[in-house]
Amino acid sequence: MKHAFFICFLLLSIAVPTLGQELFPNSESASNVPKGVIGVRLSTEDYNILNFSPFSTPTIGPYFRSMDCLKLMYGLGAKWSVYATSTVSNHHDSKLPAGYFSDDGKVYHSHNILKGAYPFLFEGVNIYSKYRFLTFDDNESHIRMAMYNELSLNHVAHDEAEPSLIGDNSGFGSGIIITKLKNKFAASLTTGFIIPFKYSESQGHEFTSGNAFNYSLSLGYKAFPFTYKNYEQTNLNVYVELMGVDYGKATLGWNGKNVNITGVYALQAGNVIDIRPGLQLIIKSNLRLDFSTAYSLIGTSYTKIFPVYYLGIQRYFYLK
Amino acid sequence: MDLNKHIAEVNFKSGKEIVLEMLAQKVIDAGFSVRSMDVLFDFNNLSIINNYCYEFDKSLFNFIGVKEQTLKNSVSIHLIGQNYMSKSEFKKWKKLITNPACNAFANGPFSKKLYFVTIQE
Repeated sequence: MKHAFFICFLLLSIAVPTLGQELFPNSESASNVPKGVIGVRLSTEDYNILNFSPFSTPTIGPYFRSMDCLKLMYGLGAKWSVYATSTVSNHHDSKLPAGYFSDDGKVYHSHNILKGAYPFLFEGVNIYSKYRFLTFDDNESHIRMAMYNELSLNHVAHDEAEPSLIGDNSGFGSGIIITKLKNKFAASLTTGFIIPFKYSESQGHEFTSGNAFNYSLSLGYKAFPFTYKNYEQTNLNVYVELMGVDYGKATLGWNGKNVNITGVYALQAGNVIDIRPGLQLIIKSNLRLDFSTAYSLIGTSYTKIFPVYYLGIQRYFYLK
Repeated sequence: MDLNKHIAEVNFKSGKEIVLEMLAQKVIDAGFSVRSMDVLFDFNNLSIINNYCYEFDKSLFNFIGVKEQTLKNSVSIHLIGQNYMSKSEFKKWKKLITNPACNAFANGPFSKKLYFVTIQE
């Protein structure tokens, strides 16, 4: 009796191209890098800054600010991805501003400062780990949840209360991502926290940005193609993302004593939300080009001036 | 691959070892799920009953939820397991795979990979 075994049909819950609309330019979805796959992303985030003391009209500038990132990604498992991101920027002076550390003979205190042209500096590295712990997949739809942790080691003189673990602060962050995909539409909500570490200089100056609660809502829509013919077709995805951070005031120290930061705007607690419309092209199911622009929606950010332009290029490398 | 219906058809080279478990795992490792997995066999008058154990190459196929019948020519075999179907569908089958006939062959030094399968009417 002879039996032959010759063909296998797989019905997949989700095909590769349908995930395109949850590849958000500015935030992570709850999905992962495929196991054993290496991803590389180069990105730049740019804006112009006017001289930006709240007390004075601009007298010098504008200055072009840029942060350039190299992100390496790896799929450790079907549900676990790790990233390493290094950044270079001209966001920071080589030391904390002298105006933050004034002594009138009675109390150490800070003044508002004017920002100028700064050198490009290597800032440090962010290590990010994301684990998908909940998966409800169906045909062309899913609900997924993931937890992320990140550790950032930066050595630059970040001088605002608003923290960031990409480029600005050393620190730790963690959070939860929930992503819903249905047909051509995807939505993702991220909530997390940031605990920045203390930055110290040899003359006894110390600076710690505020602890923060970060959140984002990202919406994506696959605009093209309407129907698939092959993997070579270019995808066009349209995004809108709301990115927010609620942070505490900065803490400054000088030779072990607290510095009074009353009246210094960039060092106070705040809540800022910006909105980021974006476009994405995915070429031949792999090469990804992202473009988005951020506009201020709520609050005043002292770390950047809007609009902020983001451009990214990413590709996956399949090892076998 | 039908990119709109999300159906992949995999043809195997003759003479090569086929591990269906790995095929499904590759899909899962890529970040996706398998909604269903069906394998087309070419049978030559194989008589089966419910909980029948069929040995093929390095695999054992335990038929579940089938009536007594004779299989001939091309027959589509539907795989049962949490990596081969949705969670809700697997729940329906889970209670039926508690005492498989293939257990007697699946263990020991010459153990083979056990698959639970059915034939969809």
